Amino acid sequence: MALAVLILTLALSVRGTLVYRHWPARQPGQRVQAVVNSGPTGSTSDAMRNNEPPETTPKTGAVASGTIVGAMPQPPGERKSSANPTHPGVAKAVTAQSKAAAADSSAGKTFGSKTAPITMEVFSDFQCPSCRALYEDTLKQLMNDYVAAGKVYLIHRDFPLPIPAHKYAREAARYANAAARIGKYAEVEAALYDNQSAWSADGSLEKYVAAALTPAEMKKVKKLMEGCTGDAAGVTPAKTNGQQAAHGCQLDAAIDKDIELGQQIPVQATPTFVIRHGDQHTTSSGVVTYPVLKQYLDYLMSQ
Amino acid sequence: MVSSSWTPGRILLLMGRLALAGAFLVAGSIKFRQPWQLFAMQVDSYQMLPNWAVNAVAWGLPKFELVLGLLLLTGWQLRIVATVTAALLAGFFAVMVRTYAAGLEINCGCFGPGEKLGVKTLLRDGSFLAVALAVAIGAFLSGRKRDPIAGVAPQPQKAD
Repeated sequence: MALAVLILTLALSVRGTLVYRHWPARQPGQRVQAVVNSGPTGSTSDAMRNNEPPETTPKTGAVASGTIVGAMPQPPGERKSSANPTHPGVAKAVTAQSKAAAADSSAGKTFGSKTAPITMEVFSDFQCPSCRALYEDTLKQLMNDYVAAGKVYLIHRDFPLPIPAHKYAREAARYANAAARIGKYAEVEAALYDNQSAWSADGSLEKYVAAALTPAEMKKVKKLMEGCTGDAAGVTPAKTNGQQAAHGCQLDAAIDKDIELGQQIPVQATPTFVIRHGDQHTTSSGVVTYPVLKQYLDYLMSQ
Repeated sequence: MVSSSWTPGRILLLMGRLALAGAFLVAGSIKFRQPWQLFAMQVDSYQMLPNWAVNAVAWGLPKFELVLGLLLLTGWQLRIVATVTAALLAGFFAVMVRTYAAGLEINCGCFGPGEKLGVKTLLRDGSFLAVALAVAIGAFLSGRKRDPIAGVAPQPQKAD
């Protein structure tokens, strides 16, 4: 019996590994378009079909809020361009702003030079303790040593998990995205991670975000936050769709675009980071210490 | 006659040995082909070892797995090799269970990057461990004469 299970699981593992290793590399400048535009016959779609759905990441229906412009991954033939198929009128009302936001969900959340030889894309959840550890222990040093030196182009992606234990994760991501639009992402990101345990306990996000911004900046952030309600955890897709589409929460469109990009990798846990160098790319999950990350980056730089 | 050795138990022993050999050769070759610095990130994500140990494991484990796979394939010194294999897999399994129980959501790193540590990987490695234990026990229980199927080395015969 054990032997049969062994052979079966070994076969699955080898198959999965081969799928991973033949995953097509993407050029840094083509990242978003390459993923979003790859059709049902594209290589990315092939990779998606050959990978199991994430276990702990959001299920398509559970997080696919109605404001997302690019539909969540669907089987060929079922792809819908409408944001909310049950409300075509409302779908049209999803503003051009939302579409623009979704088209470039990383706006304001990138650091360093786009021409850097290495691109690192980090999918994280502001309420995830491991994401905090990665940020505090690794990414801060990375910013100083590699991003500032033009060696690494760092892209932050939001991947708030719709689970009860992370009920403030989406709201935190909204604050971060709003801050990104006024050029204050780094400040708000630091404030959110530095005070994660405090706001995770009582949801007092606004207090810590406000402390990181000037009153005028906070006013702009709150304006951008208007119409964004619900935490995705425990909110049914239909309810979320109607709620957000009606108000046109452009921040959620950007967050959902990040989630969509993550699901296509697929991101199976947070934090997950993708490192690209030339035609090489690697995906890794969990916390990695700075010295260990550094030696891998140095290896890539030496290639 | 070799045919007299083809008992169900020995056939299972042979299959188990070859399955383990295949698993180690696949796992080792995948890791060996990737830069050890990348495997070091996966080892590091278990958050158990200091950096020097992480690097040592990342550098040495792929080679060790390849050697173990080749030894299992040939059946040379099977008792020792199977025991070492079972001990190694027991270590892997313990680390994985601990990590899973701690709620760390990381890549397994078992067969290269991109595979999340979860129930599937625990089931697989638990099966590997069960097979390795069976092979080790089977090797010890095998006869003292040369066994071309199980691969047990010949033992010196006492004169009557």
